[in-house]
Amino acid sequence: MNIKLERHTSLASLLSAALSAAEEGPVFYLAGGTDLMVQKDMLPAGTWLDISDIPDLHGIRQQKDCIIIGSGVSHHEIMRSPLLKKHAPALVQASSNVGGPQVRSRGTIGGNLGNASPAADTVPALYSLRAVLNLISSEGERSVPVDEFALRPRRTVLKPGEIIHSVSIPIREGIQGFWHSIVQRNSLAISKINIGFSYVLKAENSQAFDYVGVAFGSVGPTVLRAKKTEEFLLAEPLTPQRLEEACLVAQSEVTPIADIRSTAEYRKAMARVLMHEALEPLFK
Amino acid sequence: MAEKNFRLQCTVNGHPVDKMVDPTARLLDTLREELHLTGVKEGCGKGECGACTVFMDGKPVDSCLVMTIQAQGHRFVTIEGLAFEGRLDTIQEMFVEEAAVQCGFCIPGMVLAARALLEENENPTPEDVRYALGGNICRCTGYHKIFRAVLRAAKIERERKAAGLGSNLKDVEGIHPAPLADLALEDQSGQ
Repeated sequence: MNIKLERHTSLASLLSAALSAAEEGPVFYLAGGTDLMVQKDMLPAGTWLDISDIPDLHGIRQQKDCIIIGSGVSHHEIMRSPLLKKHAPALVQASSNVGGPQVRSRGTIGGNLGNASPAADTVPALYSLRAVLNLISSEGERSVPVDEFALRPRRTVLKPGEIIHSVSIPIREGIQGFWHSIVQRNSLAISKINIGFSYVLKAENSQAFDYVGVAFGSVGPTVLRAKKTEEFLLAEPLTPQRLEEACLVAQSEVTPIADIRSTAEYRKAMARVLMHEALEPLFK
Repeated sequence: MAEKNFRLQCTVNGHPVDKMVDPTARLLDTLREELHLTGVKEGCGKGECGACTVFMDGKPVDSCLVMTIQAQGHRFVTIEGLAFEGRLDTIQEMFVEEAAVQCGFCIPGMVLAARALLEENENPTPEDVRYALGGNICRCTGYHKIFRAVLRAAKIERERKAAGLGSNLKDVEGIHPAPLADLALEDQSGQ
């Protein structure tokens, strides 16, 4: 293990250190440590920058028509946030199912994104909410839609010296959400497949959608936005017949592979089942 | 061995710590090797078993996943800090009463995870207890007695609270209240 370790407590000092460290070799940003500390002895030598106590990366707040979540916000904080329960229910459900209590105390939303795992629990929820990631480096800031952030497992659009500053979630009045995963056991398990589903109905108790976001995790090299399913649901009000059809559209849209956790066939079948579970409550 | 070149200042079990340590060590190792708090156990070493659970700023964390440098300025409680002035925590008492301990290795983590639950929810359902202990593994598989002990402890604490008595954790934490940077969790005022 060859770690050059620095602790930063201000964003400005972190960003300037990150850029110069990136010129020398690999840089690892240490926040909750729930992924990185597990890999500590397997990673190449590099600079570790502790970003867990940078106030600028914490806090959940409303800013105009968005909710801004600092990248250092933990899953526990997301679960307990009244703002997010109201405006991002799918995300709250996702964070409630990450790891176990100890992991949720430390694991951050920025880490779940930056790790760029296609099985990340919060990411399908963020896709379904059309979240935008605010990236920052000492050279400037930019915003990237969440579905353009991860390129493939472990690779993102982040440039050397650039970090996720925060996540913006657009406020949509009346938003409802659903998140679910198929797992080997209830705690501390990586999803075989998961779904994030957010929607706004045209009227209470109606089955017509004003807004729909659907995404699946663990069905491709990155989380997958189910665009055809979204279009199908938006086109006409949902009927029991169209509910079944929507589930088949979702099943046809995912492109899973077989790996240590599941088979491609099972995952495809479960995409249909998860879509069904997500839509069923509309008829209750 | 890495150098002990970092001056760690934090609070553990209500006592200030000021010691030169290896900043790249896991907090688990620093607590055990430097502070001799060996009630903190290493099970899996990768955040899956909960044996190394400690409280960090009032929340349960796996100390194997915290790098020692990240402990700077924070407040910790280990199982050693839970018994207060010679009095066992209610959860510990009930683990004894229910004979919920077999080999004992997972118990410090189980007790602290249960403590975290009762701090947030004084009247948990059996389902709440399972969810709260979801990060802890007992390989003797004595879960039923553990769940019963936690539910009994909750009941007794509700009765004690009605009689005006608090939990041990609040007593331990109360020695050094909130020395942390004031990170506003949620500002709903808008901008």
